[in-house]
Amino acid sequence: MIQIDQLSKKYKEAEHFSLSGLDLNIDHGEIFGLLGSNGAGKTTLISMLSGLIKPTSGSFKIDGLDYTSNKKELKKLIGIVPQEYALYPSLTAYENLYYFGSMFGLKGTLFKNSIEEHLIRLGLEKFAHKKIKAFSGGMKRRVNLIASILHQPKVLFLDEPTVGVDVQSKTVIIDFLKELNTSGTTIVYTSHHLNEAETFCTRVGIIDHGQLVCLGTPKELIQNEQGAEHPEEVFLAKTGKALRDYA
Amino acid sequence: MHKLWVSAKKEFWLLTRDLGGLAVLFLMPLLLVITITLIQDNTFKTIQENKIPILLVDLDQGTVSDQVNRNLQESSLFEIIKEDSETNAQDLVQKGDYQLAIILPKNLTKDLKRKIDQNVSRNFSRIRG
Repeated sequence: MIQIDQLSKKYKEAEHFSLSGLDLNIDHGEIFGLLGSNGAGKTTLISMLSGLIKPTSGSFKIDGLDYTSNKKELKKLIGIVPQEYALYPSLTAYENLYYFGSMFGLKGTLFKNSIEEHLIRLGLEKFAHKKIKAFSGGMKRRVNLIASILHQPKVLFLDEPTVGVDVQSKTVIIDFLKELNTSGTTIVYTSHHLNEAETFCTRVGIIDHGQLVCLGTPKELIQNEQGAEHPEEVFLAKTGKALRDYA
Repeated sequence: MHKLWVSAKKEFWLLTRDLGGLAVLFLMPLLLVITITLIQDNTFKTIQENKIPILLVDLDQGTVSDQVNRNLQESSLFEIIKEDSETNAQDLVQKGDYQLAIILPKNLTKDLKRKIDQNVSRNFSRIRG
């Protein structure tokens, strides 16, 4: 589904590569977890795959489409849930979803029904006509998630979708993502929560200093690391204990 | 077209819910218009109120000098101060009391009329042959 070939990114004023020669294949129907410390290159990778930033070198294909010559087609194929809330605070949840869905060319009764169904599915039906600025972090995350899947993308990129979210909202989000995956959507998501990734992902990759240091199913990673019983232990064994502070 | 329409709708929603922004949107141009009008009005008043004093020595006392005098008064740019003596007028300008003196010489009207008559007669005689 996603073929990444020697993908690298170096920002203009940065001294080091944020992502360096990354090779990775993600199959159709996978829930792939990208794990890594702050500044490891997770968001950079997702931003490049979503077409938000240009790679310095290397290439990638999504569903057989090369990013350089099929930008429009790729945008229809993918959905993005960014780390920050991408919603208009003074509009209601329904208005936000109506606007973002319309930007993908959706219209008509089916589209409006789809908004309502998703709001019900994620427990937001009572708040459909309330302004986003009055919403809690978890509610905003759920609206953000709906906004990114209204056009039924084949691949969904989520950048830390459960950060700052309570347990109840997190459970609803994870269950909903599992449902999406069952219906055929490939999911690529980044997270700091290793236990969440262990139960949720079919495969995980650990990124450190812009390079993929480890790849496999959560079970495989634990089995392959001598003495490790938890994902955190694998993570620390692969990335070390040094702090990752960048400015 | 649908995208454009929905974007316009979204902008309208955002604008109508931001009363502060809406007020600024209309009040700022209004404030600008008022400020510029006041500045221009002030400049115009300054020009109108400050007249340039000039001396007028009318030795002609004829219709031409009357016409010159009237036009200068009507222009409202000058303050006309009448002076009887040409020598006094020259002294006052040289001293720097006045920037300018207009001297209309004696028999200006008569001389001009005679000159015109001469020119007309000469032109007619040329036509007649």
